[in-house]
Amino acid sequence: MSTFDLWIIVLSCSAGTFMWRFFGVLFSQRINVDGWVFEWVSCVSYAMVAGLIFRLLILPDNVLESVSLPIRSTAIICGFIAYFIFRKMILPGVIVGSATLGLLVHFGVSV
Amino acid sequence: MTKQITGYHAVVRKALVDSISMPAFILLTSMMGFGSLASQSGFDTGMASFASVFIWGLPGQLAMVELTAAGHNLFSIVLACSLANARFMPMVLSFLPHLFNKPESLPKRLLYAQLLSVNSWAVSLRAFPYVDMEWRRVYYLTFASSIILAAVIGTMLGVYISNEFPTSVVLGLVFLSPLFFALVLSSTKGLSYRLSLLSGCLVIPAAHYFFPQVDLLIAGVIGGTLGFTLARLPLLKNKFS
Repeated sequence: MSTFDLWIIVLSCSAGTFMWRFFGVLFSQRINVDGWVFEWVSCVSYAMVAGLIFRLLILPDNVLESVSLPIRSTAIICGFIAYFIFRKMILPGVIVGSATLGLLVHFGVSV
Repeated sequence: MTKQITGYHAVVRKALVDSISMPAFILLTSMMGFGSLASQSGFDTGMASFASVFIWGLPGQLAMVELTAAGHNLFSIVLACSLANARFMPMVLSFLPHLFNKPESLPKRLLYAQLLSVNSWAVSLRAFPYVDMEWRRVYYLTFASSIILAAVIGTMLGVYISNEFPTSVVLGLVFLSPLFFALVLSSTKGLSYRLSLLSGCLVIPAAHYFFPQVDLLIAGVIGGTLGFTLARLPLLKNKFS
C-alpha cells in the first residue's frame, strides 16, 4: 500500500473516532446533570468500559489468548488480593497481578 | 479521607503523580505493542504517532492496523475502527459535566473531548471528588497530556523495537492495562454505576459471541440499562444506598 493510501486510512480513522466525541460534546450541552438521562448515559459508559476490560481479561483476542483462563484468573485474583492488602493502592495490585502472570508463564505452569 | 486539593501547583503535582504511578507506564507499554504492529503492517513512525494522538483509543487503532494488514477496503477499516471507539460518545457525554459547571466555548469542549481516553476518564473520575471544580480542568489537562506524551514515546519505540522481550515479560506487560482498569473501577461509587459495571461483565460474553463487531455497544446499552433499572428496585435501593 502506498504512503498516500496509509495516510488516508489514518486520517479517516481519526475522523471516524472524532465523530463520537463530537456527538458526545453536542449532547452534553443539552443534558441535565441531575436528571435520569444523565445517570443512564453514565451507566451505559460504565457498562461499556466494564465490558471492554472484561473482554480483555477473560476473552482476549491478542497474545494473552495463549495464556489459559485458570492462569489469567489466578493472576487477577492475586492482583485484587494485593490491592486490598495494601489498602486499595493500585500499584501493588497491578504489579503483583502482572508478575504472577509473567512468572507462571515463565516457569511453564500449565493448567 | 484525603483532603480536598486546591491551587495550581498542588493540582498539577497530583495529576503528574497519578500519571507516573502507573497510567503513563501503561500507555508507554501498550502503545509500544501498537507501534510494533503498525510498523509490521506498513505504517511509518509519523502515521503511527498521528494515530495514537488523533484516534487516541487503542481498540480502534488496533482494528485499523489489523484490518489494513488483512487487506480490507477503506470503508470497512474506518467502520471497524469507529465502532471499536464508539464508547467515546457516552463517555464524553457523562464526563464533561464533571469538568466544568459554567458554559465553555465549543473549541475548548472539543479539545477536552479529544483528550479523553479510558485511562483519563477512569483516573479523573476517581480523583475528582478530591479536586475542587475550578481546578479539575488543570488536573485533567495535565494528566491527559502527560499520558499522551507517554503514548507517543511508546508508539515510536514500538516502531523501532519490535518483539525483543521474552514472551513472559510481554504477556505480563499486556496484562497490566486491563488489570489496572479492573482495580480502578472496582472502587467506583454509586449503586447504579456499580451494578452497571457488573451487568456489563455479565452481558459481554454473549454479546461477543453473537455480535463480535458491536459487542461493546450491546454490553453498554443492555448492561447500563440493567444497572440503571436494578438500582431503582426498592429491595436493592434500601439495602445498599
